[in-house]
Amino acid sequence: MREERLLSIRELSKDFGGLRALDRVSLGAEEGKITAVIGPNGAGKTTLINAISRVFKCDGGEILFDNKQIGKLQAHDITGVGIARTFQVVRLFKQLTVLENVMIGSHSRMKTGIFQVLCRTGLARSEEENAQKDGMDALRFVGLEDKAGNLAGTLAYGQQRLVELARALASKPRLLLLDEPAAGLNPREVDMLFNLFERIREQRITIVLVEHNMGLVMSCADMVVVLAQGRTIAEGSPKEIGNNPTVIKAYLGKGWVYDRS
Amino acid sequence: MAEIVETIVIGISIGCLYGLIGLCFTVIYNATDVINFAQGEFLMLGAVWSWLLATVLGISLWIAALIIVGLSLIAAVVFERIVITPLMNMNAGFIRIAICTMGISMIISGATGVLTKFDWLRADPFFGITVWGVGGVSIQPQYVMVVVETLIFLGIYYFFSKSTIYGIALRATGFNKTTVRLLGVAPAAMVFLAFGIAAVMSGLGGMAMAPVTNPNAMMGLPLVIKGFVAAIVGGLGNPYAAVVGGIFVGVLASLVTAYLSSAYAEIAVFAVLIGFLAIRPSGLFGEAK
Amino acid sequence: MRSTKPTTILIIVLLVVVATLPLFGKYVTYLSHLIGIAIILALGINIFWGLCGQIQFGAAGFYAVGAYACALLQAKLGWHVAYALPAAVLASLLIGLVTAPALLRLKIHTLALGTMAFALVVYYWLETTASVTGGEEGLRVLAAYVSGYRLGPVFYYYLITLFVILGFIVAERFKRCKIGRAWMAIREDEGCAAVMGINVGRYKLLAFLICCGYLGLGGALFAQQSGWITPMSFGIFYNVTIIFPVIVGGLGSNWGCILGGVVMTLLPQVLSGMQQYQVLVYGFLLAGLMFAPKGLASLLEEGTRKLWRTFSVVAHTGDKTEDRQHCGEN
Repeated sequence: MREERLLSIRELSKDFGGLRALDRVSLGAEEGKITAVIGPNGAGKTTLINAISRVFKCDGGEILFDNKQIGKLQAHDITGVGIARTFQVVRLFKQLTVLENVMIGSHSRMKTGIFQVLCRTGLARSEEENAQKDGMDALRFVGLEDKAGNLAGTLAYGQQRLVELARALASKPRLLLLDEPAAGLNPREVDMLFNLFERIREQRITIVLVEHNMGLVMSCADMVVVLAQGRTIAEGSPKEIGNNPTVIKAYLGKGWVYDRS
Repeated sequence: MAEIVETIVIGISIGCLYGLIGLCFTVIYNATDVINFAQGEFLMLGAVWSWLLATVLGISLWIAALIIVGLSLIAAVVFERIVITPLMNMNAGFIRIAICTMGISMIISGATGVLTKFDWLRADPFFGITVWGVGGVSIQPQYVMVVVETLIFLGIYYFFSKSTIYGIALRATGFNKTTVRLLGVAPAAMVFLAFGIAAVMSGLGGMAMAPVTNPNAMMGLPLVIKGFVAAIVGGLGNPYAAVVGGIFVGVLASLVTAYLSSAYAEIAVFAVLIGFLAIRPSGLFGEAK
Repeated sequence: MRSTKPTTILIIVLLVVVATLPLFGKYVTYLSHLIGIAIILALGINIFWGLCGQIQFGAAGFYAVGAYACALLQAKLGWHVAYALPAAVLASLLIGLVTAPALLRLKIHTLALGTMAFALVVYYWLETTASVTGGEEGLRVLAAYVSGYRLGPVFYYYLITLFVILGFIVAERFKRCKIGRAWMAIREDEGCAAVMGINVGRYKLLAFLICCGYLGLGGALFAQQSGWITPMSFGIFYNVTIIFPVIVGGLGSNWGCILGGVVMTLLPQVLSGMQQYQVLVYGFLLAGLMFAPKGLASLLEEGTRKLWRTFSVVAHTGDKTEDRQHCGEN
């Protein structure tokens, strides 16, 4: 059966020792849309992101990206197929500059070999220039182009998150996996994030967003998937999810009122 | 036949020494994530002090042992206060700390070398020239003493780590500093405790071994390397396994030395290490990852 | 804006000194051999350890492979040094290739021990195979000739200097390109680097092999300039001291390698009257450096910056006021 959605996860399972982190999870993300994955802590959300980005092998199920099986790929292959991610706790290369960090995002798109690079052939030089240009473009997109030369470790936490996003964008992905990008950000920064998401969506980049910040989720997501204890318990539009009694019981709580304003 | 047994006995004895180093090193590693290259120096110091006190000054063995315990503790305190804790407070990566311990190891052996002119010292055996004959096999009591001492230390460590609050906390520090605090113990104290235990055990081990290994200022580094091998062969993180690993290494080295040469023994030991690292990095008793 | 006059003068002076060094005498030439080799070794170790972040405690092993391979090819097979030298580098690469699968899987602590174990195996093996390698007594390295002229210390000075310059340029190129970035990413966060598209295994192997290459080259050059090699030069103590130049100069800095090479070669000469204090001094140096992680290179950078300012002011005392403003300090 030909899969319509860009990302399709079928019956995915993952065990860690005795703990079943993912239990036959199935979900999908449509191209150009923002799909949010929500749920209580320990639900398996980050495990899901790790599974898609091939940090480890899964014990069951399959992952289809653009109708191709990616479940057997190695971690360093995913940027090649067009998937990029950020991390729950920021993982930047602290001793490198902001620009160098972002240029790492372009790494897999640079195809020249050792000798060409060492001899600084025309091709190698132009690739390096392009990587630099793409890096600066990505930094401009998140508004940090003036910090390009600073050491990544010296930036404020919110800015580090943006650099991570820029690094992911520099790989020109088709799918962005974002793991709690709003964590640790103040409301103003979250608003900025929302605007960035809209602009990313304009470029037809698909986003899978794991997030606890319900305001952000409900206002930008096209589709919401709810995980609890490694299983999908609900899937639907933000409005549907907001009114779903199972979800309210498992996660949202009664006090929550859905309001897309 | 008798020769093989003698060789094995010597091997077990020296192996206990390696295992002791491995044990001490593991205790420190579990508690602080620090690889202590200077571990062998504590043993060397114990051996040199033993020579100084017992052979040169003629002090009775029991008193000498007490003095060595005291000196070892002082060495541990100085080492920990001046070097380890400041670095840990600086959030230095443990590579830096490990290299620093290597530097300290050189300082200690270098200083001792200057004072002893890097000579090979001759320490008198504790039991005079008595040699035990057991079924045609002659065994020097000194070797047996090392084994007995190691077993006693193991026992003490076992009791200490299972039954006393400090011991439990010491095991826990490696896992979780918060747990340690909940037990009402300061994590910083754990660092000192780990180093203190390691220094004292190594010091006394060195004392026992002084008559048979001829103390030398530079003996620390080869010993600590064997201690690492012992810890890895046994299973990194498991103090008891380190002793087993040490005995394994000791017997192997002893046998190869007897039938080939000491250089081949070294090769054998390191080949075993590389073999373990390549095939079973978790050691004999570690959990395979 | 930097003033160009003092810089150019200094550079010219340095170049002249380097070019005419052998004129300063045999001892100076001999020292510069050692400095050059130390720099080459440091550059190699810096690539694997400084840039890629993988501990290399077994450098002496590959260094020995290079030295003995070269010497043996000359002595036993009669090869000319022009062939033996590259062959020695290849030998080091090959051994690196063979040991890589076992070593590169290891992380940090076990990597440190594994590499050390390798170096020690090499050392003890050299001691045991007396029939082939001369064992403890060592091996005589035959002098090489080109059209009747003996290749002596002066020739080797220029050869070593050439390799130092080439090695430095290559190391700097690596550092500033995508390969160096990938290595540093691996150093900072291996898991993250992988997800960003960096094939960690392949890049580690590359760094490792390049390091082996530098080490093998250094070893072969050492054999040539030394005339006689024994296992003692590659033993436990040297295995520890071989990493000093990189650490002294600051891990990650190629200029630091040059600085470290100079300092660590001259240090024993300074201490020559006080041989027995050598271990002690080295210990203090190593331990002390760990409290200043960026090594002497960065400490000196600060110092030279201040020195430069003073020097520029003095050099421009006679200038007209507008010129001085143009060439004011950054």
